[in-house]
Order: sequence, then structure tokens, then C-alpha cells
Amino acid sequence: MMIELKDISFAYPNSLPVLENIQLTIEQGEFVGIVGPNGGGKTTLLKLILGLLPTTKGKIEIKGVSPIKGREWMGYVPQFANFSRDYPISVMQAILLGRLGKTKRFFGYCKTDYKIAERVMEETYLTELSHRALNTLSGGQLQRVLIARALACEPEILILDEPTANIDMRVEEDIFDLLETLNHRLTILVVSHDIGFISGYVKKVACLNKTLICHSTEALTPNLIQNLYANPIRAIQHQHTISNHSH
Amino acid sequence: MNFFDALMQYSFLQYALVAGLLAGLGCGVIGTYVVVKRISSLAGGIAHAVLGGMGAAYYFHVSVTLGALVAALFSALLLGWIRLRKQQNEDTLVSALWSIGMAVGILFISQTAGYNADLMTYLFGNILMVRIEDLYWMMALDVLLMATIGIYYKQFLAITFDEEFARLRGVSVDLFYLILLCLVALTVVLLMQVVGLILVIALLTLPAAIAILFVNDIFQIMIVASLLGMLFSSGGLILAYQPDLPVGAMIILMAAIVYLIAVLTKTFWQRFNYRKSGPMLK
Repeated sequence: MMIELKDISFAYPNSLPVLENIQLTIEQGEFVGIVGPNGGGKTTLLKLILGLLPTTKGKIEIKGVSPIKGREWMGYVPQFANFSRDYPISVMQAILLGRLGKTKRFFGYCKTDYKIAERVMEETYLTELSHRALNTLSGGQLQRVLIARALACEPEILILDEPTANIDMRVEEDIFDLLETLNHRLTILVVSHDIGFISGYVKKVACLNKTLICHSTEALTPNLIQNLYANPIRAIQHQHTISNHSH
Repeated sequence: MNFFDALMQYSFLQYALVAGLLAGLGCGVIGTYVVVKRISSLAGGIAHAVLGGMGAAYYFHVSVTLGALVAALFSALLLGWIRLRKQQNEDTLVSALWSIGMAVGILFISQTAGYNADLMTYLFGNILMVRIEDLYWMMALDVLLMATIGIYYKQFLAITFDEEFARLRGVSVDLFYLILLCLVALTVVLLMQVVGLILVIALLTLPAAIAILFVNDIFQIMIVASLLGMLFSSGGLILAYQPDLPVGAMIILMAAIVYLIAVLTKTFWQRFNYRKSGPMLK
């Protein structure tokens, strides 16, 4: 068992609960999508899994230990908005930061770190961009850098927060094809509000709107989507996308 | 007598020149983080709060530099603590500390008989009054700054680039943030010898801001910014010497003019490239 959430409820101080009675188990090698409307608690759930927020009720275990201890196995791909895109840093240097915690504490990096960085750049088709500045990259390229940085941690679980929020449809497919390949050796957990697109790729979907509503791709009927979003127009749009990707 | 003849003859000019070079080094290294991490208002708060410590030191007849150092480190830790507690009114607190420090300093100085004339020196600096002892501790500060940054280069890069990711990789983000603010405080005291506490922010940020326009790597920005800092401080000294102008003001104006030229050059260069090769994919 990779990730296990038991009876998780969560509320920020002095406000209404964001999550209620969440049960979720993610097995090794799974490709799981958590979908749901904005404000449905997706990011909060990720922060709990990553140990960035303390669990107040319920229990989360990563390979049997607490989220903070389990961080060493988790590679995290944040949303674009979480850092400044014009920070002066090269692709290579940004990816090397994924080695923190596994490399030596003082001064620069070791040879192994560079080897690993080169390997993950090959995997994410970034080798030719390795000396480019981050602020010259397109949205899709930047997303691949963030994935590569997470891979440089040598994780067993890859956790992505809205990986396709800022890129166009064509590039979106590239990213998910890449994730599909990575799924051969990694457990993957993706959070997205784009329910239609994600369901073509992931093997298990958890719909989150304060509570978890359903659990597998097969059960994902238009009716359920409509319940989840409480917005028929959006559901129709997404239904259309599902038929495109129902392979 | 022109500057270079005078330089050969007067040790106070030699000290001034060396002080400028030492300050340039510090401002390049730490100023880079101040600019990329966007903490220049915090640095400004630290710089002005320092007057409180200097005034108190003067009143009690202890070393003014020591007073400045203590006040700088204290205000850095206080501001860091305020930010880490995620106070809603952080902006107000920074400005308040800014003025309170100055108020305390002015009160102490006003109560110290016979020293009032020195207030101007604190506010605007006087590089020509640097003594050889000052050069020793300035050098020591530079070594301390560079050693800390060198040893923890990765960690500082991580916390200034993406705090959340750094935390997930086991970096003590809060600790390194406080250390960074302390390094900023030390740099402020270092630069104050040259341009005074009011002008410190410009010398701290402009060299790095210019470097960032043309270089895309933190280490390279540090080198370019340090060279620019040295250029401005010695250039300001040279230009101010013959017409007998305030050196600190000349240094800042020189930095500001170069910054303006750099921004314009970059803008025109980008337009030119845009026309030549069409819009770049962003």
C-alpha cells in the first residue's frame, strides 16, 4: 500500500470544514486521479498527503509511516502559481534542486546528482534545453521541468497538482502520455479540475467535493459528473471530451 | 590635484577606495537575493531601524558600529519572525519599525552633547572618514557573507526559488530565511559605511537589478553585481573628488543612471530582436 487515508476530516482555523470523512487507498503502480470543482478541497488534500498541513482528524500513512517521514518517496509537481516564473535559473539548476535531501549537505552537488539530472532530462525530453533560462520556456516545457525536478528526487510516488492548468490541449496530451510512460515504474497521483480529460488516462478516479464521491473510471457517468459539479453545461462539455479519450 | 595623484598621496582616499570595493562585493552577493526574493522593503526597514542602535551606542559611549550591528540583527530577526507568523499587517509593521528605529536614534543623538553634527554622517555616510580598523571588520564581514552563501548555496537557491518544494526536500526553510535576513542586516551595516543608511537600499538592489537583466544564473548575477557595485563605489568616489561633492550621493546617482541605461538597452534590444525574428513562443 502506497498511500492510505483513513477518516480524514479537515478545517482551516475558524472556518467551515474543507474535507469530511475521506477514505482513500492508493496501491503501488496505480495511476489515480482526484477530480472535483475548484474549492472542493483538492489542494488541501494534497497538502495533507505531503505533510505541509498537519492532520487534525484521521490518519494518513505513506508506505506505513507519517507524511513527513514519507516525503523521501514522494516527488511533488506544484502548480505554476506557486513560484515566480521569472526567477533567473537554468533548466539544469532547477532540476538539480530535486536532489536536495539526497545529496551532500554543504557546497555543490555530487557527480551522481548530475548523472541523475541528465537521466531525468532525457526522460522528459529536456536535454537540449538544459542550459536555457526558465523564463524563456513555454508552458509545456516548464511543466516538463517541474516533472523532471520531481523525478530527480528518485521518488516512488509522483504527485501532480493541476499539471495541465496553464497549457493548451495538444501539449496537455503530451504531458499525460509522458505520465503514462512513467506509470510503468511509478505510482502516480494527479489532481485536476478537468474531469473529462483525466479520465482517458487514469485507472482510478476519486471525485472530491468535500467528501469523496466515487471511485473508479467505469462508474464515472455523466450523471455523477453533473452531481459533482451541480452545473449541467460544464458536464455536457466534459462528456464530449470523455468520448474523445475513451481508450 | 586630480584624483589619482591625490590617491597616491592621501591614505584616507586609499581607505575610501578599499572600503568601496569591499562594500561592492557584499552588495553584489546579498543584493542578488534581496532582488530575486523581493525583500527590499524588509531590507529598508532593517536599514532605518539601525539608527536606533547607533544613537543608543553613541549615547552610552560604546562603538557605534557595534550598536549598528546589534540593531540590524535584532530588527532582521524581528521582521523575519513577523513574516513567518504570517501576520496580516506585515506591511504596516515593517513601516512602523522603520520609523520607530529612526525616532529612537534621533532622541538618543539629541541627548548626546556636542555630537549632533554627526547625524548627517549616519544618514548619508562619509566614505572619506573610513579608518583602517573599519577596513578590517568590513573584510571580515565579506568573508563571513561569502562563506555562508558558499556553504549553503543550494539551500539559499531552493528557498528563494520555491519555498514549498524546498520544505518538501527537507530544507529548514524558516531557519534559512532568518539566516538570509541576518546576512542582509550585516550587508546593510557594511554598505552604511559607504553611503549612509538612507541610501543603502539603492546600493543593495541596483547592481543586482542591472545584472538580472542580462544574466540568468544566480551565481553569475552575484559576480556581475559585485563588479558593478565596485565600479559604482569607486566611480562615485572619483567623480565626487574634484568638484568636492558628497560621495554617497554620487555613487547612488551613478548606479541609477546605469540602471536606466541598462533597462532602455534591454528594451530596445528585445524590440529589435522581436522585429527580426518575430514573436518568440512563450
